[in-house]
Amino acid sequence: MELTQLIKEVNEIFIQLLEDDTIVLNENTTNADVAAWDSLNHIQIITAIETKYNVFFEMNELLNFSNIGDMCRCLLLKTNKPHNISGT
Amino acid sequence: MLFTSILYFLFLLAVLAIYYLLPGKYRTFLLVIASAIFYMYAKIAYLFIILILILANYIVAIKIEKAERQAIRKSYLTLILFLNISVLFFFKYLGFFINDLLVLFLDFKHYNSTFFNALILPIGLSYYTFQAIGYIMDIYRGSQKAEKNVLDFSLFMLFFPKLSVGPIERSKHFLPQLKNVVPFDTQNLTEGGKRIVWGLFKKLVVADRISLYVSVIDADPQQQSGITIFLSSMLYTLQVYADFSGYADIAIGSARLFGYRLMENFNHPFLAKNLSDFWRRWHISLSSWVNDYIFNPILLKNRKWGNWGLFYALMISFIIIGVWHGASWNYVLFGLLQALVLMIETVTKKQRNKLSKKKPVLIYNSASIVLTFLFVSFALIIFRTPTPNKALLIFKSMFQNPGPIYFDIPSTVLFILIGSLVMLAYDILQEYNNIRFMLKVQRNWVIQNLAYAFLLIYILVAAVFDGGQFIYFNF
Repeated sequence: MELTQLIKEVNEIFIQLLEDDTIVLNENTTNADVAAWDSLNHIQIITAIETKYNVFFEMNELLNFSNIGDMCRCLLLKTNKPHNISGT
Repeated sequence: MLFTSILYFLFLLAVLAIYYLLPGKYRTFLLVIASAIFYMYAKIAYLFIILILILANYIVAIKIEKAERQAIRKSYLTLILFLNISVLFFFKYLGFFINDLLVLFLDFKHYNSTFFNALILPIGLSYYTFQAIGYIMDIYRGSQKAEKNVLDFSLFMLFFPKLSVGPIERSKHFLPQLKNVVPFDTQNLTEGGKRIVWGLFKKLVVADRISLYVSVIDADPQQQSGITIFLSSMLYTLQVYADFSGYADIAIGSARLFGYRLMENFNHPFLAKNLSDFWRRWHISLSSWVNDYIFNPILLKNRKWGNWGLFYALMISFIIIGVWHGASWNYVLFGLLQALVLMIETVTKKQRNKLSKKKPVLIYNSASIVLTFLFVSFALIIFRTPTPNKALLIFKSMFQNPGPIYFDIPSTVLFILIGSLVMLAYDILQEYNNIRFMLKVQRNWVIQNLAYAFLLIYILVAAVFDGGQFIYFNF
């Protein structure tokens, strides 16, 4: 799976949990760009991603994500599928 | 040195003049020395406390970065956190710990509390210890490089505009600004100056004028009518905002004169539509600090607990926000109340979203803003009342005492009304981007500067010049 495809899938999780179908994520998206993405529902998003892809993020990984790109690149490595982390 | 005193502005102008006359490479040194003088003016002994913390954090941060083994990194982290927290605990919490907790549980005999009551909190300690802890945590997590230049690090800790009452600055935001010499730019001077004028307006015209009314009611609230206590509580909320954000404006404006940007501490908090929205807009440097270093780590660690993990993280985080303001039960209660309501907001989110879709947007949003403001105002009664019993009496009086509303002398009422309306109108225009009326982006130079000149004259006419200390100096 490519990074861009993964971001699209994660985008669906955001739309579902935040109940906002206008959300469009990209590599550089941060919580400042998505109005409803606050620290209270961040945990629901993380848990939903972990459940869907059957992965577990370590604490230091979670604390160092600075944008959607960081999170999805980490997720790509964990899903252990053929991947292209450059997203191209 | 009060930010509203003539002495502060003489000091600021003197430092500013020397700053731009000096070659770039000496400017950081100048600001460190000026900041040390500013701090020594409060009490010389306090300078030693901050110097010890600066040196310790500077050295240990480099040690953490250089250490290869995780166990050693963790040992350094524990050591420096222990030092930072111990200093804060000794000055701010030891008296409460001994007087309120140990005596309560252990029933000491012949106990003398004079020593602990005599301890005076060094100005700014709560702000700069949190700043140092944030810096160290970032180094430990690897999201920030340790600062090798001891002068730059000293200025990050000491910079006088933010030393006394914050904002609790982040190293990632502040330190990179010190790496290049700031060229002389008149825009820094004009923007900084305007921000200072706006801050003075909020503090001297709005906050201190409201204080004249609120202090009369506070003197004996039970003798006042319910409607008066209600009005006074709403006004106190405006007072705290005008006071604290006015201070932040002067701090941010002062820093801007030197070409530095401090982080914003407020973002139109009274336009928040719920409590979690409010905490993203109020005292942002503290709430985001707690979010990054307390709330998120606890929540992420306990994410398998679901809502219980969330409640646990909220409780710990808001008790810390509460007691950060001081060692007293009212602050603990204030924090617990915030956590409880935030939890209720989280579990009712879906229902509230459904309701919002059924009602007209304007009505739903306006009602949400008013309800949030009312809750914050009621919570601030607990915040500023020393004991829960006294807070309860005020609530009782609010709903039981009949009688007419108390009006102070007409000039106080008039100045409060004008000042509050101007302050809130500015927030509303900024929030909803009605740029035609925004002074900041008003392109007509004459209109913009005339408006600030008018504001300055209005400050001279309507200000309360003996209003005293900023509320947040006490924290």
